[in-house]
Amino acid sequence: MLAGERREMFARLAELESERADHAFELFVMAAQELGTPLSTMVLTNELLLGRVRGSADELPRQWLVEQLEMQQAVVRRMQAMMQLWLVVPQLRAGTLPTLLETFDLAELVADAVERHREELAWARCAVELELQPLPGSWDRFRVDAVLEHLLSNALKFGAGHPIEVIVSGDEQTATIRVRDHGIGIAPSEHAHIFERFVRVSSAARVPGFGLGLWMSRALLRPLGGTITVKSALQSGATFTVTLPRAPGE
Amino acid sequence: MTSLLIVDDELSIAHAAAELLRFAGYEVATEPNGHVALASMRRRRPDLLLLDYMMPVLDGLQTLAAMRVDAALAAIPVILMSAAPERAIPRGERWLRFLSKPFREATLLTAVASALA
Repeated sequence: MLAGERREMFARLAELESERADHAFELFVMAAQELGTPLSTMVLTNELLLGRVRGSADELPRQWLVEQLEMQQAVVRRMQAMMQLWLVVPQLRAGTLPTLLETFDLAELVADAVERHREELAWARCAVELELQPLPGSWDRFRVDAVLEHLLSNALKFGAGHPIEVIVSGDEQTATIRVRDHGIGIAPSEHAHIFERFVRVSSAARVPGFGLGLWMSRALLRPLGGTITVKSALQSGATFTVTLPRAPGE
Repeated sequence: MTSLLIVDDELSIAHAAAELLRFAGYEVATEPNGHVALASMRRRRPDLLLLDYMMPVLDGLQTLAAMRVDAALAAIPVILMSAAPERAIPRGERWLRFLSKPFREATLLTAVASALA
């Protein structure tokens, strides 16, 4: 190798190393933004509760106190779920996260997930149309629930003010979950990339996030033989379809 | 009664801030994004808008831009809120006050009172 070529190679390696470092530093910012939201809520709710309880707690309706604590609890639970997922990202990437199968009804799991978001959905004026066919099967609850959580959160964020349809259907071999919003949608030119790591659609540029949700969804479903696809156009909403065999190996 | 509108895509934040402001004697409504908020403000003009910067559909700056060209909304004073430092937010649109998240009750109440003064 000539000296000039070697210099060029080292320069390119240094450039790649610098790009990697830039990316790692960007992750700090993203993590701070992701954690900023639950932290803000907890600070505010604590202030709200402390201020009132120190003042005139006797006059406060018990139900009001319960509501504030329940909202705080929901935020903490969501943060816990987010942490659980972050902790398994390396295993998801390597495909080494164990799959724990159990028999449950997919329709019940979906109904529970929608129920968890009931208040947010009402606030965002997203009327939910549920079409749930009872569908028992053998799946990993953690994996399917994490995918559902991601799809519902996205539908809520990007489809606020419009209805959301959630459909569970299937036959002897296959189960399908469809989550459809009528929000801002995703340009077809971006469909091929949205399931890649750290990819964020342009319409989500100013929302905190790592761009890992759909990549994780695909990785979570893969060991179950499941798939996830999107159909969408800008300003026409988005439909995400999850397909799962009723039992792995089918 | 002075009416405030809080626009934030996180229900829990909008809810807690609204409750704090209600205890301080304000009438408070909340909306989940700029797009819905614009329609709501055209129906009922608030005396002050507390607007989150990072939001889906229509973010804080896009909402400000839409308000600027709407004669009915252009004069509404705005407090912009964000976890990002103010200096990291592109200039171009104008806001009266900036609230850095997470904020505390006293900071929120002072910002609102001074924006309304």
